[in-house]
Amino acid sequence: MTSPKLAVVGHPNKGKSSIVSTLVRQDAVAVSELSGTTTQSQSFSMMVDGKELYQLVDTPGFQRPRQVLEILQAQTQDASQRRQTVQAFLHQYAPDGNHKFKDEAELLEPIVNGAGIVYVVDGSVPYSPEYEAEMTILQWTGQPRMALINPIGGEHYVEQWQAALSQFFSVVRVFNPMTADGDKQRQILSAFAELHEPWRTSLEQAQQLLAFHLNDLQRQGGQMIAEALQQMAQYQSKLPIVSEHVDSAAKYGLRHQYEAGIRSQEKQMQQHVCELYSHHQLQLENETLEVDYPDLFDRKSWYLFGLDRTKLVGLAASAGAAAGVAIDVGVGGSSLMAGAVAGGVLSGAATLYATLKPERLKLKGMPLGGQQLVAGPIKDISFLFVLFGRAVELLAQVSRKTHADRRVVVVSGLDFSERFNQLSKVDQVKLTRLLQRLHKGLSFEETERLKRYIIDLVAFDKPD
Amino acid sequence: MQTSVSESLSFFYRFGASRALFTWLQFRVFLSDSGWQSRLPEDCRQPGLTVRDTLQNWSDHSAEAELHSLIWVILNIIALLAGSGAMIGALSYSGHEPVNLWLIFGLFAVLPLLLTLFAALGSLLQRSYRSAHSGRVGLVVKVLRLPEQWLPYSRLMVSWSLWQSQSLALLFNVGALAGFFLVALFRDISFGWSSTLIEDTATMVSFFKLFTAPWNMLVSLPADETISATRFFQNQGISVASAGRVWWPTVVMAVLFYGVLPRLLLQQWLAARFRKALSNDISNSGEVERFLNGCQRVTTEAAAAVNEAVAEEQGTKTISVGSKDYCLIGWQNALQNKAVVYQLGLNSWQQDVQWVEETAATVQQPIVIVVDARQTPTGELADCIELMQAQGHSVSVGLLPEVNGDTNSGALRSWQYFVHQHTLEMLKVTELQHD
Ligand SMILES: Nc1nc2c(ncn2[C@@H]2O[C@H](COP(=O)(O)OP(=O)(O)O)[C@@H](O)[C@H]2O)c(=O)[nH]1
Ligand SMILES: [Mg+2]
Repeated sequence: MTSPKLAVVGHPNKGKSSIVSTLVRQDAVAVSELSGTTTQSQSFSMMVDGKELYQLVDTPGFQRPRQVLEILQAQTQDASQRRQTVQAFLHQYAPDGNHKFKDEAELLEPIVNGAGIVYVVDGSVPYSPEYEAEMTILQWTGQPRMALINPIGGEHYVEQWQAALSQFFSVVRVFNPMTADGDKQRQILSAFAELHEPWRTSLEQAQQLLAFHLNDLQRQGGQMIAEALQQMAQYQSKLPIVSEHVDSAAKYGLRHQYEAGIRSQEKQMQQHVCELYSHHQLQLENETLEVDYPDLFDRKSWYLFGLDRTKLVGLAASAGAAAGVAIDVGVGGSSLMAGAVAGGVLSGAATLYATLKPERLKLKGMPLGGQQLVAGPIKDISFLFVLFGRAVELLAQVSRKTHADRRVVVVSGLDFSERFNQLSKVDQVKLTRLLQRLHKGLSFEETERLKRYIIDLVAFDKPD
Repeated sequence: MQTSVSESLSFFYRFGASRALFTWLQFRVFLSDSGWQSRLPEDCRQPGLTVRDTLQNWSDHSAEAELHSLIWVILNIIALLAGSGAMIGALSYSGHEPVNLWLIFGLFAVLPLLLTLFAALGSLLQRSYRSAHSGRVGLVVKVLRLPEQWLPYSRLMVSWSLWQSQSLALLFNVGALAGFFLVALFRDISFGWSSTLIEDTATMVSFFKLFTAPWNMLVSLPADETISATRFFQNQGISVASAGRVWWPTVVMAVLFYGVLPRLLLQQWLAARFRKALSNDISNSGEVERFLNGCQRVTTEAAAAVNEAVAEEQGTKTISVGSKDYCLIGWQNALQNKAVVYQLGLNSWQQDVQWVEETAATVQQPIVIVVDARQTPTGELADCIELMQAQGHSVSVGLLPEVNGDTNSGALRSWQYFVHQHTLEMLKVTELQHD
């Protein structure tokens, strides 16, 4: 059985290509600010798990609907012949011919060959009779058809449109391809399913598969970040030292090597997340990741990031206290509180110290008697929060972005603290503890927990 | 219905778990390069392929990462030989004396059992810490000559090498068992026990009862008299030489139950644990999804070139609605009847053409088609303009001011593009009424 196929048609520049792009989850569909740049129909498949769920055809817009309608009207006497008349028109004005109805021919051809119709209008401009020619032509094809109102610049005229469209289309929905989330996309699929009985089962299945698919992506995105964070947190740069004397140039060079290494790992993770969500052409704008974090506290960005030092020290202290409890329980619980207090104090002090003092580069002996200068892994909790926050923000943005939305994504992590604060206090501490252990590598179960937190944080609504 | 997860699992596991790991790591290494999409084999992009076929096409084109089989076979043979060699040595060591049961039980039952328990404990406590294990993984990679790029995936490598080391240990024990049968086939071995401290046989009998408890359903312990009869003393041999032969089934069972079986259990558990970790990585890492997305990615000729071509001209000249120097014609609903002589695009095409031919022909002033930026330029408008130009009119496009500032830049740019394409002039129209 072939999968359902729908042609997305309408006036030029009303978001046809955008709708196709969002509903097939591909950013290869050409969306242009300029009217009339799509000149050929192109079919796109919605694929999940290597299977085609449905096809959407991106078409050029109507350019000369009234003229085409007049030609059609001139050639037919009664309503029963309308379909044949459209076919005859296509015969006379073939899509590959050289005539002024090329755009109409391109868009009518897939419909005459069996595709359903999705007629797209702009809900921010008023309805006017000029659209009637377009709708009449579509009606003449006799194919199952529905209308989508795309509120490009607002919803001012949506009601007016609904009234007009319902005279020509059995199903009318409002759909914004720039902002539609998974649920909205699935609602449109169920509207498609209403159109044509033979498509119903496969489109209902498609809806289900899409839901599973989105769920899978979320899980995989969480895992991807949990793994990448561990790699970044464990990253080390090494430099063999020949002489006893370590000059500052060597230190400087090593620090830059380390910084470059961390940045490229972050970039790779970002690319992988984009690829996971099929945002192949997405442009990312990274706010520079600073590794020089002693200064980070003096920077505006750090305060914007929201977790100020007091809060961090507090969190680290609580996480330390949690560690203390774990040890105490292990030992027998005799000095439960004492252990908790000691753990808290030590860990709090350590964080304070690390955030105040520059991370010193360590000198380590090498097997063959030489020495090497080692940078990393970073154990500073503030830096780990920066890495984590940026990763979570990226995932949150990329996973919500529709494929029609081609705007640049800015990765800063600045909104992270608001997400983080939506976690319960207990979870905040638990998460802090996971992050503290990141540089050692997490066990399978700990990775699972970190993944859970990432998924939860991403699911929180972004505070506007 | 098969999902991509189950399909990809069945692909990677098609030649067993070890090969699954190698193909998987090879796959991850391939995908970790930022330019992997450009190195994707063409036949992965074919439409209509199943997930499995797509993966198969990829692997047909990628260098097969195999465990260096010679090294692996040698390691296995060494383990087997070491096991049987140790057993043959232990059996031959005693010369003319009976073989001391203590030695055999100690070396091939108790010691292996202890080692197995230690290994099990170690595996239980193992937390897959990357840094703690990177040294060990590095060694495994070096010895087995595996690709260095696999090092970052140490968690899987650790899990796999734990399993494999137990397989080697298992082979050692199996080798010992084989060595026993080899010697027993060609020589008459008599077993006995000896002790300086234990005097009465009753203690020995109860010890042996306890020791052989796991298999006493299968093989019964020699009779009490035989046990006492097989006690031997330095340089004296056993009183009843043939009685020593009675012990061999017990020896075999001891090696089997304390040496082989626990090892087998541990090995199987580690194999299952490794499989779970690998399957989890295959299904949850998102790598397969990423790969499929890259394969299914469509390429279209971008319309980007056109975007650049449009000049940012805003229309410099401004005219007002009431102006008598121009003839204002509306395009569709723009200006709503006010101050325009006619609205194009609202009636049938035939009526528009008629109006242009009859009325527009008589117009003296330059014609301005008034449009709203929210509208879209179409071919029909271009046709109307061409008709008027054919009559010798100078036609330009007059853009109305934005209504609520809600015009998207695209609409405006589309008009600029339209004007540019048809080499028209763009004017600004203000609605200011100055009477
Ligand atoms: N703000 C906004 N812009 C949209 C929306 N839909 C489409 N656009 C923009 O409108 C322009 C035309 O979209 P496109 O999909 O190419 O329209 P088509 O010519 O009908 O295929 C592009 O610049 C889109 O980014 C929407 O819902 N909201
Ligand atoms: Mg388009």
